[in-house]
Parts: sequence; C-alpha cells; structure tokens
Amino acid sequence: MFRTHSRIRKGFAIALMAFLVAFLAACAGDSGMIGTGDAAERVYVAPGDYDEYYGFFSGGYSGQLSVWGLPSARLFKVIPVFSQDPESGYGYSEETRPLLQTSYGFIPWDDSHHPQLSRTDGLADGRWIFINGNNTPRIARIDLEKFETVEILELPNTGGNHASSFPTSNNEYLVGATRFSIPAEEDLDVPIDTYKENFDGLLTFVKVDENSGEMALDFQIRMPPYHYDLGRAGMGPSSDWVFFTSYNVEEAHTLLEIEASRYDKDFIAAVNWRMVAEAVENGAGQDMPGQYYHNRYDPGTGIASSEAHNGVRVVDPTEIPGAVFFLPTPKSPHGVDIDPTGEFIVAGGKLATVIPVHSFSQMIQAIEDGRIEEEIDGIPVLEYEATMVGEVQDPGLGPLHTEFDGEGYAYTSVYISSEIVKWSLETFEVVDRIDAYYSIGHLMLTGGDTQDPDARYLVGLTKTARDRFLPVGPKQNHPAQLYDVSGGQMTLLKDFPTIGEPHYAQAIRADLLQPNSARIYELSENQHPHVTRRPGEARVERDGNVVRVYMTSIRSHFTPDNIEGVHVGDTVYFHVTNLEQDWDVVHGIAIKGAQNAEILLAPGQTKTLKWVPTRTGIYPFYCTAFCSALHQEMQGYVRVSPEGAGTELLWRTGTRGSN
Amino acid sequence: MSTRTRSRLLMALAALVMLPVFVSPLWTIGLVAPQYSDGLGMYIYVNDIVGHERHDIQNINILNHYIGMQEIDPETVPALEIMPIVLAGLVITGLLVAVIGKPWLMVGWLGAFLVAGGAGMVEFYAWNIDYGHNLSPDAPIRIPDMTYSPPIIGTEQLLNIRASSWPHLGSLYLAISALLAAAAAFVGFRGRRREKGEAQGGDAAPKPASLAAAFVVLLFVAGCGSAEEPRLDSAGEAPGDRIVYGVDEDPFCGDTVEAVRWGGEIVTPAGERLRFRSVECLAGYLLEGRLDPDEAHQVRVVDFPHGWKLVDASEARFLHTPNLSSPDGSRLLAIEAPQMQRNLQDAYTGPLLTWEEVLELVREERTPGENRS
Repeated sequence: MFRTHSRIRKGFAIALMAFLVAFLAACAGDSGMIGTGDAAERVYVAPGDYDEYYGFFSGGYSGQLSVWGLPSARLFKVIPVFSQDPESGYGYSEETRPLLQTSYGFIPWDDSHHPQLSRTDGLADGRWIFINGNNTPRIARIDLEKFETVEILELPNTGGNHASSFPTSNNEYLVGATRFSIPAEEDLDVPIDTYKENFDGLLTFVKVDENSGEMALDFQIRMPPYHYDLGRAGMGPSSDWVFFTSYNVEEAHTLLEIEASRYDKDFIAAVNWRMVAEAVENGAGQDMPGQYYHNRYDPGTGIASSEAHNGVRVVDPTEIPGAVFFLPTPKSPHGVDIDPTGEFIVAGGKLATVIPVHSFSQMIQAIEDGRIEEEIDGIPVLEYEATMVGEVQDPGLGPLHTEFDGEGYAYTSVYISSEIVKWSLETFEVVDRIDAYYSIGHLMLTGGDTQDPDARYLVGLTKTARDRFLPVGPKQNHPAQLYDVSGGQMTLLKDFPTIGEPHYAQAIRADLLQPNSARIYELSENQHPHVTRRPGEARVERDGNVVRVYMTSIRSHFTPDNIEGVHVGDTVYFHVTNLEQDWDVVHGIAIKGAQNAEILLAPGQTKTLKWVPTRTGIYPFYCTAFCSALHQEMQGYVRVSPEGAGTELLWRTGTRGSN
Repeated sequence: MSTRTRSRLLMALAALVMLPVFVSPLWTIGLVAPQYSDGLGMYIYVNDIVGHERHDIQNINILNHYIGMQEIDPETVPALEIMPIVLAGLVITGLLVAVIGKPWLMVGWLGAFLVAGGAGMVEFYAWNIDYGHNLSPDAPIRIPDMTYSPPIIGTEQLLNIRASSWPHLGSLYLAISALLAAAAAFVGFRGRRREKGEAQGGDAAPKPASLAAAFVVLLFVAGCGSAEEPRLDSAGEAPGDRIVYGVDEDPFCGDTVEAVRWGGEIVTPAGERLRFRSVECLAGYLLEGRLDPDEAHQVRVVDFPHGWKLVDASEARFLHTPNLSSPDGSRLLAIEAPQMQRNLQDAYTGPLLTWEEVLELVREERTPGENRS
C-alpha cells in the first residue's frame, strides 16, 4: 500500500519537475544561443591545420576507442581495443589474437566505457590511455606513441567492470569494481535467491608500473553485495582515497528497476587505498582462487602473449579499521566526481531532485569525531549531515556526472531533462543551463576530471540522435555535442554523430601528444621470429602440414608473388613484413576464401595471416591498402593442389625465386 | 707580428678550416611533392650520402624505381672514397706549406685545391646526369624524353616533384679555406716585396685583429648561409595565394573549383582575386569585357604539371590536346617550363598556344556560327 502511494507521489513530482524544467530550459534557451557564423568560426580548423585537442571517445558497445580532433570534431582514427577489427586485422592476425584471450576463452567483443589518460601529479601526461571492458571484466592499456592496444588485464570475481579504469593521481592504482555483485568464489553454483548469503561486491585495485605502464592485479576488497557503479580517485588532499558509488543497498536480485530504488539513500564507499595497499604489503587479506588472463604485447617482436593466472589477494575491510567508510547519499547515485581541489565529492543522484555534495575535509573530521550512524558488515556509515556541505537545488531531472572548470564551477549532465547545468561550488546554485541532444550521459570538459582543467570545451555524450541529422533508419549513431565554456556561459558549437556509443571521453592538449606520435616501426628493431628483412630472404617453408610463407611487401610487389606446392589440408601462415620505412605507407594482404580478415601492415611491421585452403585451385591474393600508383599490380597467386598430390614447393617474384 | 708570421698563420687557418668539412655536408638536395610536404632529401658529404631524415634515401629509391632511376647506394660511389683522401691530403699539405711559409707554395696549394674542387664538381655533375638520365628500360612509368637529373644549383620541377639543390656548410668552409689561402699568399708576397724593396714603410698589411674579425665575419656568413638555405616546402607563396578547391567560386562558369590544376585567376588592381575553374572560363570572363580595360589586371594560370603554382598567363604556353579533357571542354593545359611543355606535348599531342591564341580560340568557341567548321 505504502509503496504504491509513494510511487504515485513520485510520479507526480517528476511530472511537475519536467514541466518546470522545460519551462526553465525554454527561458535559458536564449542564453545558450549564438550566431551560427560565430560557432562555425570557432570550430573551423582550416584544411591542413591542426586541432587544439586530441579527444578520445569510448566506443561503448563497439568495444573500441576513437580519436578525434577538437574543436573540429574530425575523426582521426578508431583504435581497436576489445573487439576484432576486420579493417586492420586486429584480433584476427596471429600476433593480436592473444590480446582477446580471457579465462572464458577467446572473447572478440566487449563494451568499452571509460577511457582514462594516465596521470602524473593529477594531470593527464599523455603516455597511455586506459579503458575498461564492462562485460567480460577487463582493463586495456593503449600506447599513445603508436596509438595501439598493448595490454589487456582481466579482472576476476567481477560482474560488469563499470567503475573502471579510473586512476589515482600518479597511476599508483587503477580501480575496477563489480557492477553486478556475484559470488566471490568463482563458478559457484548456487540459487540466485541466496543473494544475501552468497554474493559479494568486490573492488579491484590494479597496480601500474610507472616506467613501462604494465598493469598487475594487486588486491581486491570484499564489500557487501551492492552494485558498485562508478569510481573516482581523490586529488590533492584526498589523493589517498578512492570513492565508489553504489546502488542496490536493498540487495535485490530481480526487478531491480523497482526493488533497488526503494530506499531513500544508498552509499558512496570511501576507500583509503594507500592504507589498504600498505596493509596488503604487510600480509593482510587472504589468497583466494580467481582465474584471469593477462595479455601483453611485446613491442620488440610485435606479438602479444597470454598468461593465465589463478589467485588473488582479497581483503576484508574489517581487517583494516579506518580504511573504508560509507557516506549516505540520496537515491541510487550514479557518478561520483571529485573537484580539482580534492575537497568536493559530487554525487549524481540519478533519481534525486538535488545534486548532493560531500566535503572531504568534513568527512575526515567526521571520522575523527566518530560521527557514525551504524555499521554494515563492520563498515562504519558516517552521518549524512556530517559530510554533506550542500545540495544543488533545481538541477533538472536525473543528474549523472559532473566535471569542473577549475574556476569555481561544476557542470553536471542531467539525463531525463536532457541538459547540462552549470553551478557554483561556492553557493551551490545553478548559474547556467543548456540543452543536450538528447538524453545526455557523461560529459567531458577539457581536463575537467584532473587537477588543472582547461576551461575551453565541453563535450556532451548523448544517447540518442532522433531528429538531429538526416535520418538513417530506426537505429542511428549516438551523437555528441561540443560546447564552448571559455566565456561565462555555455554555448553550443557543434552536434556530430560518433562511433558506437561514445560513453565517456578524455581530451588532452595536442602539443602533449603530437610530438610523440611514431611515424614508422623501425625495421631494424623488428624482433618478430618470422620477420623477412629483405626480399632476398623471402621463402616458403614446409613443416608437416604447416606451410610458412616468409613474404615481403614493398611498393609495389610482394616477394614471393607466385607460390605452388600448397595442398588441401595444409595450414598456411603468411608472415608478411612491410619493408617500407616511410610514414603512412601501409600494405595489406587478403587472400580469397580466408575465413578471418585482411591484415594491414604499418611500415616496418610483421604480421601473420592464417589461411586454411579447403578447395583446390588458383587463389589470388592482393594488397588491400592503396599503397602506390601501381597498387593494382600488387598481387599474386597461390596454387592449391589436392591432398597428397605431391606438388613441389615453388615460389618466385619475377626472376627471384626457389629455382 | 711579422707579415711572414701572419701569412703562415692564415695558411694554417686555411688548412684547419677544412677539418669540419669531414663532418659537414657539401651539398643538399631536397625533394618536395604533394604527398611529401615536409620534403625528402639527402646530404652529400665528402664520404657519404645520407638522408635528411633517417630513411629518406630508402624512400627516394622506392619512389624513383617507378621511373627507372638507379638506387642511390653510397657504397658504390667511388668519389666518396677518394674525396676524403684528397681532403686529408689538402689539410696535411696545407699545414706543411704553412710551416715552410713560401707564398708561391701557397699559390700552388690553392691551385691544387681548386683543381681538386673542380674535379669534384665535374664528378658530381657527371653522377647527377647519369642518375637522372640513365633510366631502366623496364620502368613502370616511362615518359618520352623525360629525364630527372636534379639541378646542380637551384630548383626545378620534375613531374610532381620539385627538386632543389644547394651548397651546404661544407662547401662554405671550403670557400673560406680558399679565401684564407689566397689571403695568406697575398700577405706573404707583399711582405716579401716590402723586404726586398728594403722600405721600412708603414704597416700596410692587415692587423691580426682585423684578420681575426674578418674570419669571424666569414664564419658568421657561413652560419647565415646555412640558416638562410631556401626553404624547400613552399614556392615562396603564402597559402592564400593558392586556389582552393571546393571553396573558390568561379564568377563566370559558376560552381566551385573542382580541380585546381586546370584553374586560373585574375588579380584586380584593388587586390581582389577572381578564381576560375578552368583556363577557358578565365578567358571567357575576360572576353565578356566586364573588367575595366584601362586598369592593369594580373592574369595568372595554374602551372598544370605543378598542380597549384600560379604563373603569368603571358609567360605560359597552353597545350591544346585532344587527349585530356578539361573541366569546361576546351582542353587547355597551362604549362610554364619549356622542357615540360615539350614533354607534355610529346605525351599528349596537340599544338602549344600562346595566351593570345587561347583568347582567340575561346572567342571562336563561344561564337556559334560561321567561325566554327
């Protein structure tokens, strides 16, 4: 009875709010308008000129990461991360397939959500960018000299690694967390309705080597079986802490839409990672089983390898008093964002009608003063009033994520009322608002999640385009909007479609990356075991049923380009080396009937295309990359004979060859 | 300091200033093409040929194989083995001459040096001719009578590549050395004359301080020389001087320019630029007589083989070829360089017209009726 009542009340309140917000938005509309000519000028980057910022947009359910120029919103590249990419052969070539190995086998897809640039002293340093895989829980590292995925680490005991891959101020740790609590004991076969007894919420801490960037799973913290949604590390004074939002403190396991929305308050979990890490170093926690894969790309050989691990150190918060606290926060908070001073902890209460703001210094004071409301599984819950410094009124409906301009203002995305609100960190009052097209999720201000934001551009990452562009059927690409925030008010500059679901993004000043971008892979440093350094070394070798073609590509021919002596039943590996040492001179290889994809080779790279011919005949292969004026002539033939025909191995290019 | 000592000192300097030539390039050749706006290039040292960037030689070789040019392989150039020995010989003998101090020996040394330098230039020239002319008959791209020798000094357009060749620091050091040796001999001879004429006279020879100053100035000039080496990545024109495809709108034929290399422009005395999508549109506009004939308009056309460089219409020739179609049908290619005019005429056939003839042609084409057959 009571529940129905409260839902009707809530429905009414939402309707009222929606009306109010629509009214307010209409009023605020004018302030956000600028002449289109002015906006065009501000996003115009003349042909041949460069953008001010690199933008990295996650691909969401495409599993990839796209690289953009800001403010022009020109797409530079899609970097394949968690999903196979037939365009480049990533995840198809023998060299890259191991990157997609997991304890569940070869997983060619994931849902990539939160890209995070590596940090030095709380600022993006442009060395690497990390991104989480949500579905089969993983974190990937992308090298920003070559703009390619070089490492993927799987997280055990995790269901939906959503609160990830957020780094601490100097990449001491990247965090991960279980968005869907599951039993910590892996592969446990229990009834789902034993949720409260058997399920756990594990928070994961991954160490990053400060020189190589290599990741290592360090420890996990076993929390009550809530759903840990997002996380952020503190900055400055709060940099020893990590904050996670949680929902479903109701511990529901079915119809969460209603069951997990019952209580007025859920929690932000505050974790002193430094304290826990020290305790773990001194032996805290216990080793538990937990299978996971660690896949690394060797820059010398250009080959990725997989390592299977089993076992993880799991810590109980009660072992380390003073390290973990709960901050009560209204209504299933989603985002938790820390302002550049490290003082304000802003929650996005997605069903709340206010934006609650906690104070880090008050939190420390409350811990010292013992202002504890209750304990849950030994974790102290601080009094709401003790940590809360303000509630932003009238933020619109469904505030989600907040970023900061470093000039005393915060910008919060508001999903239901589809807008961005700007509010003051002094008065906690809304000072500006602007529409989002439509249903905004994350937003990204240039450097707005670091210790020193550039108050230049804001990108709104929206979930549906509807009528914004020429229609392309029932399913359209997700858009993003670019706003200028350098003046007092937000102005919309551009609205553009993106790749996959641009869930979250990062931006970094171009001058921090541009000089480091590699132009070639040095052939002299290529340590691939099947490299062919000169056309004179090209050859075909047979070992039982395995035929290895040591092939070179250079404008505009393959060596060899005629191959005979392959039989049905053979497995053929084309180890192709691109001998070019010139920027962006790319070759590719594709062969008729190959059941994988083409493979692209950057200058100086060796990659392997596996091919298992199933029928006899003559198979053309060709260069897929338009490499030169005589690209069309860059082709060859393989003759496939019947099994046991005994055709002699033969290869040639022009007069060079086996005989 | 006696004039004799000054002369010896200058001679010793002449020998020593050659030492950096072992590590400084004598010459530089730069190549700029649309795809290579940063340029490719090579430095020629006394003992080696190296790329401006690490892989430039390989990349030049790859590009050149299409037109049948030989690979540049420093290992196979005999001059690169001989030149360091000659240079070392000049340094050692130069120092010996300084010790001996006889002015006529200095003259002899300078003579030997100039002969060696001249031989080097002849060798360079011969190599350059062979490199650019001795083409493989199997080359995928063959253009009748087209050769590709880069210039010895200066800039030249070779198909899509603009090649520039200039002396570099090493050559400047050699020039300084020659000047110093000449000065040494001069001072030496004058000192001797003065001794012979037993006139004690005033000190007419330059003071060491002023000599040192002159030397510093020379070095400075050398430094400037290298700093002011012509930039290879522009044709001396600001980007605004280019016709922009898809942007510039043709005031006569309408529409935007789609292929810059067919285009042209009129620059009015007020500095206004009217851009045209083809030579025939430009001519058509002029023939309409909309411009004030009393004013001096600059009429420029894009050098077709270059791609975007604008040249005075009166200085270009126009190939009227049946084998290529221009945007508006008159089949007119503007070409600046005489060699290129012949090459393209051989390749595509048709008469080469002057600008006046082009105007006449367009006038006829635009007048339906009796003039047309």
